[in-house]
Amino acid sequence: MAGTFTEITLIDAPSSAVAGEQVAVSIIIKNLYTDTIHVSCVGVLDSVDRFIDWKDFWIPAGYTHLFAGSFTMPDRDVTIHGYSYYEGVDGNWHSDDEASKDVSLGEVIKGTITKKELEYDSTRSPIPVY
Amino acid sequence: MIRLEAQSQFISAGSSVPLGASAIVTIWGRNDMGIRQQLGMRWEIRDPDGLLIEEYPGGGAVDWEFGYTYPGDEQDFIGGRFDIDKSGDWMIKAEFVMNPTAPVIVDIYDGLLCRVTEVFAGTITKKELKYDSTTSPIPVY
Repeated sequence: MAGTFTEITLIDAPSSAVAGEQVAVSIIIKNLYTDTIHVSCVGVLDSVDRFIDWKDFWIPAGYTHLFAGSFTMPDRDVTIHGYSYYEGVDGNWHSDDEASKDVSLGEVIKGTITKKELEYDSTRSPIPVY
Repeated sequence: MIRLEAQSQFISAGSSVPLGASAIVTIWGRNDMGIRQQLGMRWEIRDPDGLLIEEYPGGGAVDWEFGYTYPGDEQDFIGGRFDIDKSGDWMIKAEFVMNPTAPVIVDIYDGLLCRVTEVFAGTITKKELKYDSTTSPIPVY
């Protein structure tokens, strides 16, 4: 649901990531007002870690702006929260819209070459063969 | 005491590969994840001169297994036949790949495939001793 003057149209992030992976996040905010407004964006991980910290931009009427940030995936599922604020005529920032997206913890893809053999003249030997 | 030992005819660890042999490579990969996965493999074999002899499966592609391999299980990949026609060090670079939708190389072997030493073979066929216009085969009694 959109805010009064802004709308978070998309939180772009992968649906899963492995622990330790750098996760890129884009929060796209649209100006719903009939004039340019000063907008700020905050991106928070699990309501604790702020990875987009009050980035601001003057967004023309009807336009969108992409606010980018990233975080290191912890060893658990997380939820990204995005918040938009607009600067009022009183000079204060007013909370306007919010959205969220879940990122689940992915499993590390791992495997091992366990055996290598060379067959020649009815003989099989482990590689390397000397 | 007589001790009997049985050994597979196919196991010959430590033996060298004879020049002129026809060879096939087989490599096994294991799924170390907690869920089933489709496993893939590719490799390149180069002769002692560095010439590309076998590219498996070819064109830099990955040979993906048809089904899935469960956690802890292994899948084998069998290459094509090629001739060991040069002495020296034959090299192989094998890449074990998982996750077909976004392939990840999870293990690599890049090293010696086999060391081929040319065997010098010959036989003393005859020994003679010549004395006073007489030739006799050694030993002469």
